[in-house]
Amino acid sequence: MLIVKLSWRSLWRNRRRTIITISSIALGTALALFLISMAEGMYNKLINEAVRMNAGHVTVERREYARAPSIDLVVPSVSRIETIAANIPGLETVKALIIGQAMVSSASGSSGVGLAGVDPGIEKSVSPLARTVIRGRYISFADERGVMIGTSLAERLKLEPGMKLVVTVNDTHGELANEMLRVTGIFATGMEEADGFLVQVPLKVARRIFRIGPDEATQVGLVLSSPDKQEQVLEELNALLKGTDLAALPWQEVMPDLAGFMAVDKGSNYVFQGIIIFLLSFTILNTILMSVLERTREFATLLALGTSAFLLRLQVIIETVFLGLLGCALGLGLGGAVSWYYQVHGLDLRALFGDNLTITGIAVDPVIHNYVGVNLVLWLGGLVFGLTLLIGLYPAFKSARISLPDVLRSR
Amino acid sequence: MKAFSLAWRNLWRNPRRTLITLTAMILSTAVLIVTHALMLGMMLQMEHSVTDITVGQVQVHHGLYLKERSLYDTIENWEKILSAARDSGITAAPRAFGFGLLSSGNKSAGVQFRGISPAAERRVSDMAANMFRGEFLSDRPAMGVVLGRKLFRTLDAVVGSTLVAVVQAADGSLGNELLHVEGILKGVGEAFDRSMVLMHAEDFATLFVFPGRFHEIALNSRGTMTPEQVAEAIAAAAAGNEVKTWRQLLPGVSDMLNSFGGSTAIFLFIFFLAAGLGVLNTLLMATFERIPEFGLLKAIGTSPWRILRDIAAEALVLGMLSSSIGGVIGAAISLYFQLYPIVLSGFAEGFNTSGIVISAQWSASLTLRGVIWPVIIMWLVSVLAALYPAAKAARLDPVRALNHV
Repeated sequence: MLIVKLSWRSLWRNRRRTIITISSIALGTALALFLISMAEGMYNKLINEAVRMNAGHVTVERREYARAPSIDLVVPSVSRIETIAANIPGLETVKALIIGQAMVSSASGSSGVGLAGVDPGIEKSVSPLARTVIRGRYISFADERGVMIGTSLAERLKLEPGMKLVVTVNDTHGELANEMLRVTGIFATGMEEADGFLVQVPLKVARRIFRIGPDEATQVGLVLSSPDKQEQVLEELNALLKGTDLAALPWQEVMPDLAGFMAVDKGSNYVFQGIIIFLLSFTILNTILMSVLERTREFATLLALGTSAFLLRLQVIIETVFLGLLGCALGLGLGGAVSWYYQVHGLDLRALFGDNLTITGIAVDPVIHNYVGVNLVLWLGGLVFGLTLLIGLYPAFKSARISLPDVLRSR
Repeated sequence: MKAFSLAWRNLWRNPRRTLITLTAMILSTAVLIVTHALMLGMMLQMEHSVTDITVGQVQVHHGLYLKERSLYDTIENWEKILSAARDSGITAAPRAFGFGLLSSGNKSAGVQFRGISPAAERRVSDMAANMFRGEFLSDRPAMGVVLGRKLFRTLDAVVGSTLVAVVQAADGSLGNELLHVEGILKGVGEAFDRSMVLMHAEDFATLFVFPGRFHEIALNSRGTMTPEQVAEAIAAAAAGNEVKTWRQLLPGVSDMLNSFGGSTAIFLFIFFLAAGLGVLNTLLMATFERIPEFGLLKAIGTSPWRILRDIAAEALVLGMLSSSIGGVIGAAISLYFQLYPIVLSGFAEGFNTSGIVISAQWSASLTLRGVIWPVIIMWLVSVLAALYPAAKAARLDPVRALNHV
């Protein structure tokens, strides 16, 4: 125990050196934590918005649907899925969707679109799309002929809220069906996929147009409040759906494009994380190396007085452990606090870059929220502490290998 | 000059300390240069994915075309614009658009026919290199078409399929042709993927009975000019038409790139901070441990100003040495990644989101600014980090400085 106390005291004999070393470790850790949590936050947001706008974290659909989506492949009983899902912990909401292809025409032209039947009440609380209505209002349950269209479709077909459009579809009976609808509102998500090629109608309107039963839908999406539970939910659901022709799929399979994009983007992010951790470990190496190597005279005195090489090395290692622990704790505390602040309040890019950054819609949100997870704090802390120890080994080993007369004579 | 030769000797009096500081600075400079080059490379790659795949940097249309999309709103003097572009070294591709119905068996889709000159298109855009299946259009008109990534699914077509096109021709008659699929493009953008049919301009003229007229000219300097400069260069020849840069044509995509640029700038700032602090700490420690030495100098009569000057000279020499070595190493690594892109994922294809293609191959982009800034910052940090403890030592009472730990 004496050696521990001795190391602690010796650390604070040269307060400035210790503070510089600790601050090196702490600042590096804090910056790394901030950077990584910022990237995590951006990913979470992207996934979160995409699954909320589309078919949830976990989607229940017919087994054949993924291979060849077709309007007659319906989930026969939405209410049954809802009952099953109600018992799943961490469920935020269940959204039934009817997705089909349609042609919309106005007096100025026509365009092929994806027609989505949604529950307006649920959609309004869950989907980011409902927040981007720029003209008119969002559809409600009572709208018998209401339709939401995107801004670039509205531009192409020269439509404004209140104007009429005709939707033409191939219904489930294989017949061509026409329906006249009225534009309730126009949304602007900033994503061309949605703004130019998506129209939303209340679920019952979609059922009427496609001639789908009142408790049927092409997809039933489960939106989870904590995405970490996704795997678990998926397993539970698939166990329950065994023997039926329904399957529960993760969003990665429902939206392979997004999953692929995330894989590529994450790759580039690992490169940046690697660089910053390299930078961090090199800074630690430098400060620790220098703080130990400049103490040769002190070590020489100790050795001359009869301290064993083992004890001296042990002391240097214990000092490094203290430095690592303090630096890590301080860094994680500082970085965690700053990241947490931005997790709650968001970092507004507009404030930083002024008017040069004009942004519309949700595809590009100028406010970045960090995401500090327990896992991130643990692995980063462990990594930095491990690196510090590893780096401390060399000077510790070196400390007892000095030529006493040379060192003691020189100044 | 004497100050510098003294500084040089002083540095090598304690080679170990100097080497540690030197490597710290070299490494930080190199890392900053590489990071900057990688981030810039990513930004440019995104911008190029917008301009080079289909859009071009600048487009010329008839003043009403973008609003009305009418077959009859064609560009005036298109030959003049093309030759003006050629004179300025800008590649240009004329395009004609028309709507119609394309069917294959019992499947059909409303599509946009795009009459192009395959040779010009190859120069302006990377479309020809972006084939998912089959081949791009050949230079001779042969009633072949290239389909968008999603359209071929809708039509259930494969390379070699025969399709029937029905359009309203310019003279009011019903245009009707048999077309065969020569190739399928990779994903380049939602509108394009869903409805675009590329065909030779002469085939287009036959189908729509509409020879020698175009709705759009896409211009691309291929990286030698900014979009604004391109617009400027052809402004005179294009008088009477509407000239727009891609940022004006696609404000949403432009926003997205801006926002991406914003977050990249924050990332870069964090890297500068981390590297700067690393060097700062190393230098602080290296100078602090020399305070007794400065005390000795003071005791034998060196003036405080002289001590400060010597330290500054040392820091400057150290900074110059390390930043030039670091600059060379950083530039070399960046250049390497510029020539041999990093492969980000096993997926061969890139991904498309809102019209920006994210490539799985990531190459760096080395610029002079990207080398000079890290070097200057490292210099400043090194001089400042050395001057602070030196100023402290210069003011200290020699006796206390000598015993300083």
